[in-house]
Amino acid sequence: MSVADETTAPAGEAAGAPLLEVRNLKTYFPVRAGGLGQSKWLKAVDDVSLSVEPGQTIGIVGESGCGKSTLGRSILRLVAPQSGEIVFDGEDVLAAAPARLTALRRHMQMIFQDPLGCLDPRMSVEAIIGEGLLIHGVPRAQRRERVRELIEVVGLNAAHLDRYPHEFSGGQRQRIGIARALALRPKLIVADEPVSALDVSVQSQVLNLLRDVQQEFGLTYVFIAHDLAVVEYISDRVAVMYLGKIVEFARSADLFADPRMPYTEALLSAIPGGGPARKAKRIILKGDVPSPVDPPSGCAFRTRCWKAQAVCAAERPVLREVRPHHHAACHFAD
Amino acid sequence: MSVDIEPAAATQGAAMPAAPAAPAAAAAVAAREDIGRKMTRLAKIRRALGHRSLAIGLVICAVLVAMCAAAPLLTSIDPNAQDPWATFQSPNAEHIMGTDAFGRDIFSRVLYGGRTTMVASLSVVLLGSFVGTIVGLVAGYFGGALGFVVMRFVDLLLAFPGILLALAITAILGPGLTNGIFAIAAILVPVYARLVEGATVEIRGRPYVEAAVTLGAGPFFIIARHILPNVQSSVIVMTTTWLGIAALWITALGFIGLGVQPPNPEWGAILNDGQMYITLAWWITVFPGLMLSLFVVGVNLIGDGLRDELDPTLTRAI
Repeated sequence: MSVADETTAPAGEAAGAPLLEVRNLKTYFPVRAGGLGQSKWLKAVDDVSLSVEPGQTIGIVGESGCGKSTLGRSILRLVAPQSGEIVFDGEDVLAAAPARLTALRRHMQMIFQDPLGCLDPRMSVEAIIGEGLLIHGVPRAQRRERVRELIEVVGLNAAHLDRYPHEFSGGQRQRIGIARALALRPKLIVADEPVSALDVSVQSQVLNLLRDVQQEFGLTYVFIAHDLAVVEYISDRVAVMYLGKIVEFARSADLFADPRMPYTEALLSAIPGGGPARKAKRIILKGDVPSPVDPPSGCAFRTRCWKAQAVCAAERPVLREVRPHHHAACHFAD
Repeated sequence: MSVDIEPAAATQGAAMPAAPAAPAAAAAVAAREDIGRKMTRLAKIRRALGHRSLAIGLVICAVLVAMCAAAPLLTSIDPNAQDPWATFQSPNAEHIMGTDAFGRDIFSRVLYGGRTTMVASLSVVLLGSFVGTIVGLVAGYFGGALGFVVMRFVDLLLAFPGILLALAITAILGPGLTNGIFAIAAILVPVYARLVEGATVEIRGRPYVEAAVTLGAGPFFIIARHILPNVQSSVIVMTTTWLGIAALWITALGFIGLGVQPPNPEWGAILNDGQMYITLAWWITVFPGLMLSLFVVGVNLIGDGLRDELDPTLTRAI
């Protein structure tokens, strides 16, 4: 089940080699299941493949616990995947030796969900933004100059540099986090729910900032979120995750106009005040997400799906191209 | 420039409407942020001195330290000079704390002995906290099998009553002040290691450490720049608490003869000199005992005050 397998072209139409390619990535965590020594695997990311072209934004959505954050963290090797391949700029991230990994990470940065937690409370803003430059041996004078540029880029000013994280509002903190991520001039930024902790009025400001810096620095984003409106706004393509798997993958406009997987339909119906293209009827899903330690047989979503038939329990639907550039994992997607 | 203005939302959660809905809360937060920004180091020290127990503790300790440091100015009598014609004198004009069985001046012995007790207890906590902090940082940050083995060994040491272990170590090393310092410092190592390990494990999981990893920071950079600064206030508070206990243990070793060797003065040793005559000559034991009690009380007051003052929510901007 590969989105970007050999036979079909990636859903995105951008030419040239992808900046990031994830192939059959599996990140499992061991869990102790009661009995002695009986250990099971929590399949946080289960056989996920996707690719991102330079300058594009791929949105990854799903409920909490579906593995979207683990996918993002796996890309930067902040957690160790079980198997699979992550090719960044032509180089295998998972095979990189520690020194090489540090060099690679310079081009892959992360923006975090918790704007306060991701800033060391005992460091000044100047030290926070300049940390990457310090680590990579940029001399002090250049560091100061670069930090001063960056703080302006993210919409703050040099007067803020002597202050400490707790003196800022949530939106300002996230701006500091963005400046830190930009300091090393990365090619790829994994944004793990960058606006979900922010006030709605501030969310749009930060999203616009992310768009602006994407233009300015030619960035590629892997944008993780649970808020579909946010994802629709910023993404070129969207992958929907459920229980560690990608269940639908399409261009943003296609996915939002015509979802093919019932789970996506249910998610979209949950957007408050959906536009005219959207179904007025809210689809309420029954029950909870099944445990990723013991996923249901066949289609993982069948336990909550109103279209479920016998075939769904017997056979796992593969992610297939249901129409050009639109992939869905459902027996009834056509 | 577009700076967000939503201080209330920042502290009270995302779904909060803009400031007008909670003007009081917003103003309070704004005021606090203002204070945090304007507070200089000097102002912080001044505020800390406003803390009553901290101020009292500092005064007590400062007086005791000054007295012992200025011993040669306060008395001209050699603390070890014996005078067979002046034994067991009660406090008088010449010997303001009296004399002991050998006619030695208690005042002089208490002052010079205080130097030994204080320096020895300070050495104990510095040595113990230094080694213990390193052990805790390494075990906590790297974890794994190494961390597990180290921390189980730490648990093993913590299971022993401290003073008993110190006595055993001194008995093995042989009596003497230096050996006593090492013995008691060795007791402190697992105590600090446990504290620092716990804090390290917690801080290691914070997002800003992960952010440093993605920036390319190595383990030693992270320990030095992120973990140590964030555990240091706990270590400082712990050190003041243990300084008092270390003083008690040093005097305990001196009292039972495993610490400072006679005839050199040390509070515990002086107490021992006087304990046989306590019904005849109370002054031999009461004065060093009083000094010791004052010192321990003073140190503990400082510790209590620092615990409040070093609260991370108040000192993030040091």
